[in-house]
Amino acid sequence: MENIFDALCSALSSSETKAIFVQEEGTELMVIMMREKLLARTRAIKVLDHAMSGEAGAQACETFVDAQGLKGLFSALMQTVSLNNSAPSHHRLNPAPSLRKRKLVKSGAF
Amino acid sequence: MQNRYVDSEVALDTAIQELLLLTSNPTAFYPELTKLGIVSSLADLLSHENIDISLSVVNVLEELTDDDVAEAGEGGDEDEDEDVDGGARDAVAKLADDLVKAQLVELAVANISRLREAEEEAERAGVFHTLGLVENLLSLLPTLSTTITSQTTLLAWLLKRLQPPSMDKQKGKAAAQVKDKQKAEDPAMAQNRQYAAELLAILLQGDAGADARNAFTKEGGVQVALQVLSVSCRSHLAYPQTTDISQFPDFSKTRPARSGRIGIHGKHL
Repeated sequence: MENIFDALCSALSSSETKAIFVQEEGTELMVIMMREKLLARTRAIKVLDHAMSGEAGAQACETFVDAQGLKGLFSALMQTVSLNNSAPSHHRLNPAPSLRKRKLVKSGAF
Repeated sequence: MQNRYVDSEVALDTAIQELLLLTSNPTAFYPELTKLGIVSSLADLLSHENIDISLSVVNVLEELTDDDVAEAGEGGDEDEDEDVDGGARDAVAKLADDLVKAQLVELAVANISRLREAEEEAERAGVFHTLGLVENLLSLLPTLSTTITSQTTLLAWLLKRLQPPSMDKQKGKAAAQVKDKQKAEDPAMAQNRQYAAELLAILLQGDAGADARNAFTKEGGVQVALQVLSVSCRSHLAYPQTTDISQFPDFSKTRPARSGRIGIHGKHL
């Protein structure tokens, strides 16, 4: 499954892929998968990051917010904060804060 | 067993297997393979009507292009002849290039399309080793992804292969199938499916993957990827399952080491 996430991330560098991703409800699926544990959640966030980046990512940002993505993202971040003191989860922490900043700015929610 | 060898095929198979000896000194021996026309003969043998011959060729080519052979002597004993050992990787890469020029990848894809994975264990292993061969070539030839995209149907095959068996069924039945262990996907088939996904990720990555990424999107790859993820997500949420790699059959090579190339640790479906 990780490989599928990686393939999507690679492909999402193009605007055409971003557009199809949103059309096919990829944003909503990733928001659901943010509720998963461990790697699926991190990977889903990474895919969302790619989908929402750049000018072409605007539609994904809007769809993300409409799909209650912020709620899912914040609860994911709350969990990583509480795990801050335990060693092995740093690889999950690292992508999260910068992703959050970009998403919030781009989604225009704030 | 319908694939019995006639005498000439036994001799042929023996000759093919003997090529494995050449891994002892790629720098000296591999150029001969091209000069003597053995490279193009091997490529042609992938279409041999006896499938076992084609599988034998796949296995040997996979071994000849293996990372271990390319790295032989790198960082090795200082007393050894540096010309011989340092040239190993170049020799293997040159062989890979000659194989590709002999249409090896197209012929290998055509071959895996005729393998009956579900019915014959040897053919299932054949798919696995073919994917291994392609992975070896990709690591030796950085721009191979572009060639594969434009000249072969590998991408389409991978997109089809990485879909789980339950995907055609009604949504409700998918969860039921996961519960029913007897209908769960055979671990060997799951392993090939996982390898197909890995190879897809490799094809799409980096600068060399640009054409592959375009083709992926044009051929409906986004839809396939999302469907595969949603099936695994749904089944996982409903019935959490372990994906213990020790359950997978060993096709006599350890695969996890290869996945370090794209920074993936552990394999989870």
